Amino acid sequence: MAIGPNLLLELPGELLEHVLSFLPPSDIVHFGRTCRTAYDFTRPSNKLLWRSAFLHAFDDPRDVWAELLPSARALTKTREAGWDWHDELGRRMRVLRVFQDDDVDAIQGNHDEITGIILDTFDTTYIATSRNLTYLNQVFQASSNAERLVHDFHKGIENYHASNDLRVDRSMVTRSMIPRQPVSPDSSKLHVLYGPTRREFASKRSRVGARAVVYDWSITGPDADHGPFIKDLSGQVNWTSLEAIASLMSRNFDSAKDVHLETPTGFRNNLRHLSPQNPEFPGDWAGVSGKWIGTYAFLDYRDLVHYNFAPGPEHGAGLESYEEATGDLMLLDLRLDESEEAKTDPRFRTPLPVCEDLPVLYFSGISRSHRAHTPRISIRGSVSLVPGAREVRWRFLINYAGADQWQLEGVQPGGVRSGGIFGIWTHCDHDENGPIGPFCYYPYSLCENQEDF
Amino acid sequence: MAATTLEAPQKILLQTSDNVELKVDRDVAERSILIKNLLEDLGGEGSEAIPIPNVNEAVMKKVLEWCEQHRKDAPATQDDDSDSRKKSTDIDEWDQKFMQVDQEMLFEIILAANYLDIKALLDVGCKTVANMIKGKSPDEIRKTFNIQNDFTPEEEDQIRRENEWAEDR
Repeated sequence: MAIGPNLLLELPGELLEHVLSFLPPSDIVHFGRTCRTAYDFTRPSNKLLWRSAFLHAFDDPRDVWAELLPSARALTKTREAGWDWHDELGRRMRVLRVFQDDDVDAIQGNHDEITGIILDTFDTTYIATSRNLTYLNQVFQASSNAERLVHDFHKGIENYHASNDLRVDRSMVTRSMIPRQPVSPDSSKLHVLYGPTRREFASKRSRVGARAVVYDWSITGPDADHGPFIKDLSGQVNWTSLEAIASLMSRNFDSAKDVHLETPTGFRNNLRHLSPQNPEFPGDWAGVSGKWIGTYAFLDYRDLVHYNFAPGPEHGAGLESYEEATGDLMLLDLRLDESEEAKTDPRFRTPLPVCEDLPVLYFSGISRSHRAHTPRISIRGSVSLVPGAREVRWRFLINYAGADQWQLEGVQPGGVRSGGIFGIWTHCDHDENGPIGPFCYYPYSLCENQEDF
Repeated sequence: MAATTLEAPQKILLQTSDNVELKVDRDVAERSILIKNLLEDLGGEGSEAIPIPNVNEAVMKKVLEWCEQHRKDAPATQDDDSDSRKKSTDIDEWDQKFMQVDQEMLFEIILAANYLDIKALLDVGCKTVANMIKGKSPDEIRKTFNIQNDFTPEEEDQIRRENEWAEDR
């Protein structure tokens, strides 16, 4: 080996940094392992170096923060101030390792932390570059146990003693099948954004679990404005309820839809600003104008009453035998309604706070079954931001036979112009012990135009 | 302006650190932002040689060869500088051949491109070095760049473990 000057290490710092900025983290640490000078140069404190390393694998969170609405931005200020490129990169890479190693103990033991990192990665996905989606895809494809993070790493699930009819195959148990156990909102949120897992799709019992939540009259009430919100007048999303609704309805939609349509689930379909803003309607921040498709589900009223008034020893028991019906596939054609009449419509009042970063929008249109020769139903509604400016809140009112019939109160968990809306329908006048059930609507364009994620 | 296209390209003189004068087309030399700014400061008079005290004749000729090849390239835009962008180590074919020089010359070109402020050449040089690191083990990197390992085996082991998260699988 020729002994000569270390031309590389003699480069001025900014040029060495420029060289290393073209390399992924693995090459940077290999360089750092060559000698003390290189090691010192690649220390975590070299922020510019680790920023470029981070950006090799991930979207720039600053691009995402810059586009947040003021109320959402205010809530990320601390996070932004404490952001450390090296540590964030390390955290995400370690999660990937755990999955690549199929380290079930590590996944289970660090469930909350891993969920937090995954959600944070999703939350800082910049749609134009979407490098974070590639990473999330990698994580969930790395291990056959990956989906357990989504649906059953509930504390104590391994020790859960199911009643006789559930004990048959414990591996079929998903979290939503364990009734009335507290679940962290983040776990539910991850499930909503990830979509149904493979096992869940195949499991009839997990539907029963979700139904147990959805058809329980106590799921909502006046202080949640009859929607999937926390029943404390805060207007915040109840993620446990939303998880059950989304789990049930994305599967119901999947069975009800035409074969040529897709069910737009998964991280990609829950990205903010997924649909571009239509230049024809500059005020339409929510992407209301256009076609939507969705469906609803219901129990026979006698079954609903029986389930709510006579709960068996096991909550949700009996729901297996009750016939849940999925309604027709409904096609909505909506347009903004800027009339005074819409703004003052008493049906749009709400006791819940809304975020005013964007104005409340009103719309009207028609809803028709995709089957021929069915009457057109008139539909109108309002859309606003949930406090915190992350999720979007939708209200639909269904009017036929000369009167308002149903109120559909939903949440679009991905945020502004993202994918599906999930929620609860009730009668407009909210009679006590009235019929209740779940619904979903998706932007039609997402159902016909799927990419491979 | 048909008249200007018929004019012979304006020539200027550069004086290298080893006191050699090189005559080059002005638009070729102006790939260097440093030279471009100097020429603008001096006004229209281009008769006197411009001293380039940090670059010798051999390196200057090499740099000018690159500038000649890239004289028609669009000037760098602000966009290329965006640090949000994932950086690729792709190098076009001509540049790859151009960079097939010994290591000393390679680093000289990088330093000259930095001094002369030729962003695209600096990038090509740094990418070439990056490609010499890419995918190599620490030991292979040491061999490539004559780096002496001054770690104890224990230290080496400890550093390997603390950086394990960054390894490719």
